Amino acid sequence: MARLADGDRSAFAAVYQALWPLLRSFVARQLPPSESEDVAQEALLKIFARASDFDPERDAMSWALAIASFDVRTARKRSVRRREQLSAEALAIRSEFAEEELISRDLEAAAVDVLGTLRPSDIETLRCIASGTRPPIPGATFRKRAQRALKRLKLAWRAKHGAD
Amino acid sequence: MALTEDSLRAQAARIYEAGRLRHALLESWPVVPIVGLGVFHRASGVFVLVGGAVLLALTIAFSWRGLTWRRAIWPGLLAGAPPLLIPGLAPANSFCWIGGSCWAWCVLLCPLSGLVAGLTLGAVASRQQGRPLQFLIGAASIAAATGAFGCRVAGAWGIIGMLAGGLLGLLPIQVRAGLH
Repeated sequence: MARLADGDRSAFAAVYQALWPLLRSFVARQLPPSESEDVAQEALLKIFARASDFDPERDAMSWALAIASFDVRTARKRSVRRREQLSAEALAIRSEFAEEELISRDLEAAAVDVLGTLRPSDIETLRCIASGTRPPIPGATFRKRAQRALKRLKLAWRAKHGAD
Repeated sequence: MALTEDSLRAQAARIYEAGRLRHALLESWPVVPIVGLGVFHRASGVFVLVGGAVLLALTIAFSWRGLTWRRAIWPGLLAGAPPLLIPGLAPANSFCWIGGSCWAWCVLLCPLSGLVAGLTLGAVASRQQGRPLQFLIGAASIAAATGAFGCRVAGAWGIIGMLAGGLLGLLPIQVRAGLH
């Protein structure tokens, strides 16, 4: 490393061969396999980028491992942040669903409330419309009944809730 | 990212060279005060630009290349200090008579300070372990580019005198190398 810091390119291959397996195993011991390869490569490139700044008085191994440790710490922080973000998103989605469910339950209760004020024949007609079935009566008669039932439902809803 | 072994090695080599260039740029900081001194001595804009560019290019190239070239930078800068500083210290319009002709002090000081630079470089180069010629070439070119900023006050003759003085100062080491 001291030779590389001095600009001796012939030391590159030796440094690379000594450093890469060492960094790989050092990072693999501290991070899950899905992340360790990337982080080890990042650390290796960072070490070569700073090779010219290396002080020959220092121990090369501890210098390189200090850089790798910093990268490991950064990767850990990054994954913790990612996990926190994901759980926050999941929480937001869950609360959105809960709100929708609450609204639909309220609407259902309000609809049952309004339906209770209608005549049984209107309720039967509305049930047929909702389920898509046809009672054994002529089509024109059913259409007329459906029209009347819907009109009454609308009036009842407006009387109870003040809106369509 | 997950690069293959070959591309990782290639990228590491590229990044190492880029790091060396960045380091060379940072190591070239002495060029700034030298050029500043040239501006202070009212050198022409063209001279400051060209001289500054040459000195910067030399220091960056030597620092980036490393090894002996890099080790030649500081001795070169220090050897260039006498011709950079001494001629500027001579009082303006001060003359002396030598051999029946009138000489400006600053013109005389350039070969003298060049001689000091040459002797210094010769002495340092003789102590170099391995590639003394490479060291001498590197340091002498940096010293010449540095000293030119000081000897410019005496015009082209000042720079020529400094170079001649420098070569004369290097003679003893050349003679010694020839004897060996």
